[in-house]
Amino acid sequence: MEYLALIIIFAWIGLTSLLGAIVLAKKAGKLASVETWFVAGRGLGLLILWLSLGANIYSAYTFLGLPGLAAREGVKAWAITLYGMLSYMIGYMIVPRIWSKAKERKWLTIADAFEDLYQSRLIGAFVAVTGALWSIPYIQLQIQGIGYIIEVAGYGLIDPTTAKIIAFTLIAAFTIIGGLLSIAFINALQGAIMLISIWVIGILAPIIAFGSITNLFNTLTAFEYKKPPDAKFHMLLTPTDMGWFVTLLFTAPLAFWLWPNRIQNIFGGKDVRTVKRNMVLVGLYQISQIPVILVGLTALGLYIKGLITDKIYVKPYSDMSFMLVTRTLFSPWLVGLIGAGALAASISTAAAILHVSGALFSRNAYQRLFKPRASGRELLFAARFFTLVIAVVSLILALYAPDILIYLLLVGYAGILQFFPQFIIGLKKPGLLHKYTALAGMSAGMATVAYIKAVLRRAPYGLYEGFYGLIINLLVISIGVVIQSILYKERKT
Amino acid sequence: MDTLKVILLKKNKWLILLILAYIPMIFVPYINSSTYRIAGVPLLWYYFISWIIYVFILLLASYYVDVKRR
Repeated sequence: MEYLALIIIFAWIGLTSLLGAIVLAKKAGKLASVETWFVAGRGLGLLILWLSLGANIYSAYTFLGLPGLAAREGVKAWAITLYGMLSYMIGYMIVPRIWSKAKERKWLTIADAFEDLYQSRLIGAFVAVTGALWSIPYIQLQIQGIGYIIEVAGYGLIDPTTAKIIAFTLIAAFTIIGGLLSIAFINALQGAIMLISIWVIGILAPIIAFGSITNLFNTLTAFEYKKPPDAKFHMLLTPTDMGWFVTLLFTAPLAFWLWPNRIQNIFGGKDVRTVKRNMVLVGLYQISQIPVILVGLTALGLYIKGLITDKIYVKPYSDMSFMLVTRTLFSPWLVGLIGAGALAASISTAAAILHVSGALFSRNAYQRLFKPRASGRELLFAARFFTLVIAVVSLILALYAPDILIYLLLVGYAGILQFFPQFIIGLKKPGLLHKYTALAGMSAGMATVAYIKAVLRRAPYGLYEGFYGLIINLLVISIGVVIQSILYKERKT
Repeated sequence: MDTLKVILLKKNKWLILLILAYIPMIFVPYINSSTYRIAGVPLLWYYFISWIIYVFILLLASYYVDVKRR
């Protein structure tokens, strides 16, 4: 019986991989075109783009990270759902314009956009490489998450290290399958299974475990009043949480659509109408995060009741909430099905990020800067090599420096956020920033985030680290613009 | 002049949408200070759920207005 859940999970992965391979074989001719490889020939219809974006955006962080944060820190989980929804609002305003511009200027990647906006191959390469580097926490998140799924679904048969190595192998195998076309197709399948799992477990779990939501919250309230010293669970925001909440909600949505894999997914849309409709429809996924938060709370409730023995309010157990609730309340069959959905969504997200990172590196860094006449084979080798490096670094971090899943995601956001001012200024006021000003701003912002995360560990006053990065970035840009104008005046005189 | 009007209106539309989406932020500290609960659930949690749904409705409305204008 212990093997049943794992058998279901691996059977599902095998099936979707086979389907992906069939799609890839059928479209082999089409894939010869660069545009098809990168953005699926800009031909993804509404349903496929919607499901594909869903599986691309929602991964281990939705299934594991969000309920984990709810179980660990309670009310703070709403900040994640809220900034996501606000991101769609901002996306609705800017993404259709970006899509139109991309089509007009023939951008295939975010690095192409920067290269064109600043007329600088160096900036394109910088965006390609740093975009991939800031994706490392996101990939680490997926490896850790997949590891947790396998660990819990294995009912103790698989140890955490083996689980993470299996996760890494699955991601690597999936990435090799193909370009966006096949991944989009497989993502669509994962998106469908993911949505069903979220709603079924989210609604059923608290009812089965506590009879009603009220009973669940009464149990949690009692816990909050007499919580152990190492618990951080709150039903209301503390003053420190408030600063984090405000800075996160104002800044993270600006980064949402600048993730290299997401923007490439958007470039794959058929037309502006499809892209706009998608911005509205992906909001439905965000509403689906409400039952996910309930699962996290149910996990804590089950721990209080003594039905889950792992200390659910601390890491890494908090991030196992979704799977532990499923394992405690449902049969191994359902554990297998839910695990398959969560695992598939995580693999497809990681594969998409890795695929895009490799493609960006080979096209916008290796070819543009070092080998303009590189052959297709050489480019493919460079892409695969870079992908491997990124994947191995992520695995090492997952094994030796595991972190809370949601915070890994937010670090990635903090780094990607530093593209925002330069991207918008480049679009709206071309020529305002010199390429070196733009580069200095992004570098300073990213260095600030890295310093906070690696050295300080926690941002001053509990604010979101991306906020500090953005302030420094804007400061450097302002100084750069002043220097630019002084130099311009001097040159004129 | 007419072109300028159109540009301003267009820009205002996005600004208004942004303000509308973020306006519930103002009341968070006030709601957060309330210990009132409905069916055991703190008021703040209802507020956050309503905010999420409200932004989604704003999105739908923007799309609807866009389609109508076309």
